[in-house]
Amino acid sequence: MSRAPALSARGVTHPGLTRGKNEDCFLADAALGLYLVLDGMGGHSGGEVAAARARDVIHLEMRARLGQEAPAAALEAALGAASAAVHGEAQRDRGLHGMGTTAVACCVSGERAVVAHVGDSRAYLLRRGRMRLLTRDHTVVAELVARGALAASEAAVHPYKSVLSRNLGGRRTAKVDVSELELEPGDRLLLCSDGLSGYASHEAMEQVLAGAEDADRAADELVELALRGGGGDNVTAVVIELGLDPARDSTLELRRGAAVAWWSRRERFEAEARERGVHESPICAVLSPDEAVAIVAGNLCEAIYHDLDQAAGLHVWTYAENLANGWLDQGGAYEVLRDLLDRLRAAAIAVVAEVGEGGPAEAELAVALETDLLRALIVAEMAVAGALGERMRKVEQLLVRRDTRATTATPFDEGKTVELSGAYKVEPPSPMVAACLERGWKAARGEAATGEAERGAAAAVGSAEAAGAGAIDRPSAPQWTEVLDLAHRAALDPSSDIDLAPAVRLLFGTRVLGEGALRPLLESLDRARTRHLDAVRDLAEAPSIRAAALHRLAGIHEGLMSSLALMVVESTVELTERYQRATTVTARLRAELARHETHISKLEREVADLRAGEAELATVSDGAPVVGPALAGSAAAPDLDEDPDADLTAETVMDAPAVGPREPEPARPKGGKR
Amino acid sequence: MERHARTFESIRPDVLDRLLDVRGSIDHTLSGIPSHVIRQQFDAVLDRMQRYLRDGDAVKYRPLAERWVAFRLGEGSTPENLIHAVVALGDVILDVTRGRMPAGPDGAEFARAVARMNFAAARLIVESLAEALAAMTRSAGRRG
Repeated sequence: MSRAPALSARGVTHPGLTRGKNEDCFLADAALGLYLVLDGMGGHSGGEVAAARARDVIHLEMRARLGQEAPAAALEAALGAASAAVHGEAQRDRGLHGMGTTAVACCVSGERAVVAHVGDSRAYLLRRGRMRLLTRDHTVVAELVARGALAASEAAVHPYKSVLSRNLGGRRTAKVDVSELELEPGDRLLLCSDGLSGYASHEAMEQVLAGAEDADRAADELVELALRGGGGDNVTAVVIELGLDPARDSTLELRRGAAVAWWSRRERFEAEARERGVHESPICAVLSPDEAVAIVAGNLCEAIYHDLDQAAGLHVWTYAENLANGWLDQGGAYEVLRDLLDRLRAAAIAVVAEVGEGGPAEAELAVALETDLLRALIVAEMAVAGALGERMRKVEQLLVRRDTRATTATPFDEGKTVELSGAYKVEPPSPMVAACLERGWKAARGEAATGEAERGAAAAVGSAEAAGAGAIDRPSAPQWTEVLDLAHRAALDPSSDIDLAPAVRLLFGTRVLGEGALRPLLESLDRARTRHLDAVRDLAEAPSIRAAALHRLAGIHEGLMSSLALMVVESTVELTERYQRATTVTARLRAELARHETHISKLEREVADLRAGEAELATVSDGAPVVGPALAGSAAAPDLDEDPDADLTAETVMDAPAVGPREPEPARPKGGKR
Repeated sequence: MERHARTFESIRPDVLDRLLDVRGSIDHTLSGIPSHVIRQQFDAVLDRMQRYLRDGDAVKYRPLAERWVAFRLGEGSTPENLIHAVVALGDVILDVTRGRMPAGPDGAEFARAVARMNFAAARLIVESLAEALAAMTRSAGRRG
């Protein structure tokens, strides 16, 4: 029996940089081999209470159960009991109503570990420098991703990414996920709250967990990492480390031996790099040959040494990422970058071959060195893939922006060809792929079983229509099958540039813009796509054939959807223009109305003035009533109805004949002439 | 090398089982694919890996890598996920190997062979990604 490796652990919690209180808590009981991280939630002090209460209950339960029950069963029961306890307390105290907590628990016994969790606190395993997630978040978004209803990339930015689908205390019982794993000497386990996993990338956490000297440093540095990432939440990390066994020690010794062997040959590596023309690469164009070798090869040599020594990948990653971004950012070609990396790799492999020359011990060292070196070079490839991925996303955004601009600037054109995305321009289907597409289409329509019968019916309908009968009612096919047929026809099209616009126009043409009309169409497109891809995926064809068929179909369906989107946007443009025209006419009419109203009020004031003037005239006469022509409606008086613009000045009125002597005109308020 | 291919063949069922167990952590998008489908896909990849261990000719497997990239990108994987998944496949193989093979020169040489295969696969994936990027850039140029 081998002795169980020594276990060490360290837990750290921090309120973060934006929260006033810490609702996280943890437990590290080395004697029991029990480790916990909990992240409470709930108003007022509910979160803190829930997390602390659950921690205490789990601890007590495990003390009682371990030894009586298997660790997995004990842990599951303990988390269940904690949920009941938290729920009960929340029911009793109205101030704590709705409180709950996540929990991730690990019970280590010898070289076995049991991990149980509820919620989005996580467990990771670091083994030989690679970190792997052991738990699946119990969030609504993660459940959608697991069911294939949401892409992982969408999940990362989803507004509800933190909404839990399970917790302890929300209900009396909790569904607990439990898994077991065999530990190996040197393994590190990490339990953490989402204040860490949500504020640090997987790669960064891996680097820190792998690179830290021991569990103490690892826990401290991980919390520091989350704070550097913004520290927007309470953050807690518990790191558990299994000590190295003697065999592992010898592996470690071999690894360090390989690192030293590599470093002692750095000049040889630079010479090999020079021999392979590293300095001739266009990437080194601004450097002298000596500088090129010293910088490009020398830095890689150093990065590899550090990563070999620490069994990490951070240094090579950084080197390759800087190299790739530096070159690609200035518009450099990928092929040049590839060529340089290949030359450097060839130089490194040549050095390894030299290490192996000698006895069996040297050969063993060379094998270990090459294995570790290849791992470092794989890390470099991953960094280059990351740089390419970044650019792919940028080009994709550019394409979307351009399409949007083109759509809003150009009016709808019946003859327009909607182009498929360049990424989906594929070769025409080979006969095998075409056969696969045919079978997939039939399976999706459910025609595989009833194909013969339907063909017979279709033939009957066809002949009846041809004869002009027109009396046979063909049951109208559901809309998604229309889409399916369109997609299938397009997929079998032998050209690589497929115009999907006419097909989509047919679907869209008769619809009125609005959610009520568009929604069923969008649902049909979605349903057809899902059925189509599922049907092809389930076929028994060789995976490569299915992959080619799926690739083509994915492109076609994407094209259908984007063509539809284009038409919707174009229709919206037309409506917007019509609305803008109507708004302009309305504004003009309103201005006209306002002008007339102003005029009418002026006229009313003029009339009032005339009345006042005539009253004055009447008072200076000999008492006989004076009836002015303006007020008597004589021919000399202007007709307001007929001529609203008539000049109703005082002179016009006063020139009219009047009875009695003329007096000087009395002062009266100005009416404002036009 | 024939002996590495034979060693791989002997552990292949275990590797396949392990891959199915951890597929969600290799790539989230693999979780949504039915088990029998993903089993077939993994088995096809392992078959090519076994052949590569025998012939060492990476160029032969380029079309497979291109299809893998196109297929996974179509399913919503990011380029980073793609290469992580490939590297994770190699790690799972090494994990299983360590459990099945005693420590010694044979195990170390097999580990080196797997590392070589893993590097070749990673390089092929990067090449395919670069081609996909070039195609997208060309498309942007045409439409710009």
